[in-house]
Amino acid sequence: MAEFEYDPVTRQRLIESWLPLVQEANSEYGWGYTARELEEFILEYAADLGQADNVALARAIVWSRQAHFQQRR
Amino acid sequence: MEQPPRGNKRSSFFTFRRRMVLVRLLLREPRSSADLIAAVRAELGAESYPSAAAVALKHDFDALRNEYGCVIRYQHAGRYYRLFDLGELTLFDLPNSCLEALAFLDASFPAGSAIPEYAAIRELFERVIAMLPPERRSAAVHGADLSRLQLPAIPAERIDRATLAVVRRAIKQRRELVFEYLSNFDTDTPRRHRVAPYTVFFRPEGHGYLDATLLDAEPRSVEVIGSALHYRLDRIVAGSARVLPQILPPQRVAPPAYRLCYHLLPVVARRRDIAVYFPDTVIEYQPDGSALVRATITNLWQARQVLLRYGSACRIIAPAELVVLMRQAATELAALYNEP
Repeated sequence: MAEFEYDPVTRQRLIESWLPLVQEANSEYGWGYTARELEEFILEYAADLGQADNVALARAIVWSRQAHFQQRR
Repeated sequence: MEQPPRGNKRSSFFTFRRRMVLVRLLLREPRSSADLIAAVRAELGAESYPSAAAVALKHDFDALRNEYGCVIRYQHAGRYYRLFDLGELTLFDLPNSCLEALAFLDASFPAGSAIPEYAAIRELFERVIAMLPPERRSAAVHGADLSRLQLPAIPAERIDRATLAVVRRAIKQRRELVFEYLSNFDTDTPRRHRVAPYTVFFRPEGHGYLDATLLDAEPRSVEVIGSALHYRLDRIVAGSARVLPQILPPQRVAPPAYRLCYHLLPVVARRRDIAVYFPDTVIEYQPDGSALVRATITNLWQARQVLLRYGSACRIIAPAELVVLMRQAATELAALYNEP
């Protein structure tokens, strides 16, 4: 997995903000990612997620990036 | 009635197949006449086009235009043929459930997004739509029942687009942002908040938020200056958001962080599949089927909201500030259900 250059405060807040939505998808679709992997997912795709205009698009971004994330596991 | 010669019938069928292959090739991408002839010959055999292949190809295009209303045009700039419309040759159709899925794609990936992979998704959507009969196209784009896909569209629609654009500009330029905001503590008069904005995000229930550090609020209320807050985007008064000239410092002011610890009863933990909601989560499953969960949080209010979903199956152990919030919630809930 790539390393991300977020400072500790940004890292904490990004994960805290996006984890509920990403966790929901992880549970709904049965991806089975661990806590550590969910955090990696959020940090890797935070820039993409930040472009969502609504929760439907945010979910679609999570769903589409998951396939890419899965390949890199 | 006199039957046509056997050879003519076979020839007509062969010509029909050749024209269908042409359409399929052009559905994939625009091609030059030489490419098309070579591709048809590769698939149907060298004899599929006569020696005057270019003339026969032109006849094929004329037939596709005249018999089926296909719109195929020669692009002089690129010296290739492009298929613009299948006309009446729309043999492809989908059940309604698939049209709803297409509508989901349309809603989720609207035109104009800057997401790199978006262009391919949008192209896929438009290609599939183009192959549908005209009356089915409108169903895919406008008539599908999006509620069946459980899209919480209402909260998202309430976010003022202009406000979101201003918020995003402030984040991108790393500048202070000011807006009028109607918080839970305000009754009907919004108050002015000056913040350092960092992230726009969405929660599963459908609301969009701005993660920001509070720099000033006027008039002051219960908020603590310097605290990290999640502002609901739909509660920012439309037209009030402004980007200020002040550049933010490179490092965000660290909000108070708390070590969270809570105990989940076996009724929710015994399957060993409990959800992860907070950063740095570590789960210790206990022999009795319960679980002890540790994490790091900076937003006590959000933690309270998340953990309340467990009801009486969750007991907060730390931090003390969250225990106080939960105790308060429990007292208020008890008051709601007490007999008068």
